[in-house]
Parts: sequence; structure tokens; C-alpha cells
Amino acid sequence: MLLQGKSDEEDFQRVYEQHIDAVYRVCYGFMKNSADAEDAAQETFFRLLQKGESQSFENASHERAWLIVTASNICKNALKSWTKQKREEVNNTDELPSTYEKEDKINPVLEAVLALPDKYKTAIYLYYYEEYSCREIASAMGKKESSVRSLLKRGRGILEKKLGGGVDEK
Amino acid sequence: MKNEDIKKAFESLTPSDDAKERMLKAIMAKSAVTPDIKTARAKSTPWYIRLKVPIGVCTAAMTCAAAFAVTLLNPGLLNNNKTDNFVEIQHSCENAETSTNAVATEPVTQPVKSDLNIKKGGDMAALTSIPLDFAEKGVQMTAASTTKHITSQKPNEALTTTVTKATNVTSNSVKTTECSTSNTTVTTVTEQTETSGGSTPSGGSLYGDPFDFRSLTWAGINYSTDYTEVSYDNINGFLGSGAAMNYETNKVYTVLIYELENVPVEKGFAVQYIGYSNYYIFYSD
Repeated sequence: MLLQGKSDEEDFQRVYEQHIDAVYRVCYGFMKNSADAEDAAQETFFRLLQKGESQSFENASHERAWLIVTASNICKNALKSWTKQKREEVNNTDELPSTYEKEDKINPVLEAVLALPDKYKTAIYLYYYEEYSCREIASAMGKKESSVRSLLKRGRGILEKKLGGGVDEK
Repeated sequence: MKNEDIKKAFESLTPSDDAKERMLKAIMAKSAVTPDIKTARAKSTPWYIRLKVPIGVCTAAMTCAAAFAVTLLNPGLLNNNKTDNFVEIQHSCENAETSTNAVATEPVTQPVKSDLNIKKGGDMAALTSIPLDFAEKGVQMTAASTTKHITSQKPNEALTTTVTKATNVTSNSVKTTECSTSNTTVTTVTEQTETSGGSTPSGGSLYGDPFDFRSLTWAGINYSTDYTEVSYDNINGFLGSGAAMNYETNKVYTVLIYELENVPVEKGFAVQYIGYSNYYIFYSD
């Protein structure tokens, strides 16, 4: 039993509500489908529970960064696993029973971002959506600040080619 | 494309409320059945794995302590001196003490008295210069041979062997006994390896080939030999013992000295190397 009392459970729910969206987005960016993204998000918060008191955070931003990095790692491991590689995508969903949901057509910008390599995608997401600074992104990703700037620059370049027009820098 | 476009794009990636609730329930259900990781890991890991580091440290410390204790109890382990290679020298004084008569026990024929002119020479040609009467009287002179016949003659009772130097040997590792002295005191310089056998000097096996010891000093006079043999028939009497020298190696060889018939001692005498039966003429220099 990882949650020892009701107070622990309430604290966890508070953290969950605060960060589930960000974690889900990161997971979706890697897994590119809602089912796998949910599984990855669940695993991320379960890891947080396992850490328990041994993992102390300075503030909410630190906690968020930890969750994002953990989610990224979980997704990368899942993508490398043999179960994912052996799985075959079903493209023609017309023959499937109606109980299965069809993925809505996603935003072309989002599609282009999701099509980026993982390292560019994570940097782009953290920079433009989470509004992290390059230093914070470098700390979260375990890279140098100059490397993060390079990733952002190259990611923007790829998006420009796909979508046309320039991407504003902050 | 602007920053807001990217932001809006990601905003659409939001799980539904149902999805959020579903995920939360799954997390809670899983946490309810999952034990604490640390406790689970601790229980599954055998004690000798969990304690491998302390066990290793303790083992290393005990090994060092044992080695230190052994060296303290046995300081000689670190001592390079060859104390165990002690030299025990039993020289011929023991034999001398037990023997009542140092003269050869085998019957000795009195040598024929004759005028034997000792001439220096190094080869068989010198034999031809022996006076005819000497030859007629049965003096047998044979070429030098390398016969190694262990003589039954016992050394002179007064033979003294004194060890004056033994390299790398501590005082408690050398046993020496001193006997009564005679006219000649034989000084033997030995090295550890050679005298580790420790016994009465028996000749060639210890000191080398007697043919390497061709000089000796007797009563202040230097003598040398060309290994011309002489029969014991020409021996007049036993004079004593001496030490033939090998100046190349600074080693000595114990010899017995005999007077030759009608030959002054100052001119020459016969010498018998310990361990050999032949007699060789030593000429004064």
C-alpha cells in the first residue's frame, strides 16, 4: 500500500489534477495515440507514488519538470520495447466494430509537431507550451543550454519547411 | 506560424474528464496492491547480497589484520638474512680426538733409502734425470694420475681447521670447535654454500680438483709442484699437514706432508692430497 492515509491520497490527487494534462500531452507526443498515452501517463504517476517521501520537490515547477522527464523516459522505453515493435497498426478502421473510437483529425500544426523527432518535439513543447526557459529545459532534459537552443532552432526549421512561414522566437 | 499556433495545437491534446478519472482509478488500484518498493526489494534480495559491501570490507580488514599479526609474531619472515642457512662445520678435530695414531693404518713399507735428486721439471722428461741407483732401488715413479682413492689414513691429530670467515652468517648459525694446534694452522676460508654440508674435509668434492692446488708454504718456505708422482717406498716419514693453495680462487686444499728419502726438507718433500692416495713431489721455490 503506497498511500498510507487519506491525507496522502488527497495530496496525490491534488498533484494529479495539477499535472495530468501536461503529462498526457508529453505522452501523446511520443506515443501518438490516446490509449498508449494514457498508459504512459498512468505509469508516470505510479512512479511518483512509488517514490513517495524519498522524492522531495522544491516547488510545483520542479515537480512538473520531474513528471515530464519521467513521462518522456517511460515513453521512450515503451517505444523501444518489443511489444510495441511487434504490434501492427490497423489503418483501415472502417471494418472495425463501432464501439471503437476513431481518432479525430488533428490540427496540422500539432501533426507537424508530433512528427518531429523526439528531442525536438520535447524541446518545442516545453518552450512554446509550457513556456520553460532554455535553462529550465536544459535542466529537465539533462542537456546543455546551448544544446537546447540548437534543438529549438532545428525544430523550428523543420516546422517551417512543413508548414511554411517562420516560427517566432520568444 | 506563431507561438500561439503551437500553443493552441497542444491545448487540443487534453484528456477528457472520463479519461482522467479512468487513469486515476487505475493508478489507485495498482498502488493498493503494490507493496513499498524498498521493502519489497529488501525482502527479495538475499542477505549476503544486501550486505556484500560490508562483508567485503570486513573480510579485507580481517585479512590485513591477520597478515599484520603474522609479521609481528614472525619478524624473520621479512628478514632477508639467511639465518636458516647456518653453517655447521665439523672439522677433523673430532676424528683427530678419537684416533690414537694419526699415521696411516695400512701397512707402510719403509721406503728404500737412496739418493734421490729432486729436480724441478714439469713433465715426464724429468723422470729420466733420476739417478740410476734410485731407479734400481725400486723407486717407483709413475705419471700423474687422477686416481681418486679414498685413503684410509687418518689426518694428523693436530690438524686444525679454523673458520675465519663465513659470509652472511650470524653468530648463532656457525658451530666451530677448536683443537690443539700443531706446527701448522690451517686457515680455511669458506663460503656458506660450500660448507653447508659440514664435514671433515674430504678432498676433491669439496675443494675442487687437487691439480688446481699446486703451491704451499711450509715452515716459511714456499713449495710448488708439477705433480710428479713418487711412490710411498721413497717416503721417509710423516712431517705434518699443510694447505695447498689455489691462488686463482684463494682456496686451500688440505695435504699431508712426508719427508722424502735422502732429500732435505728445505729442497722438497712428498705431498698427499686428502682423499687421494698418490704422492706428489713439491719442490721449494
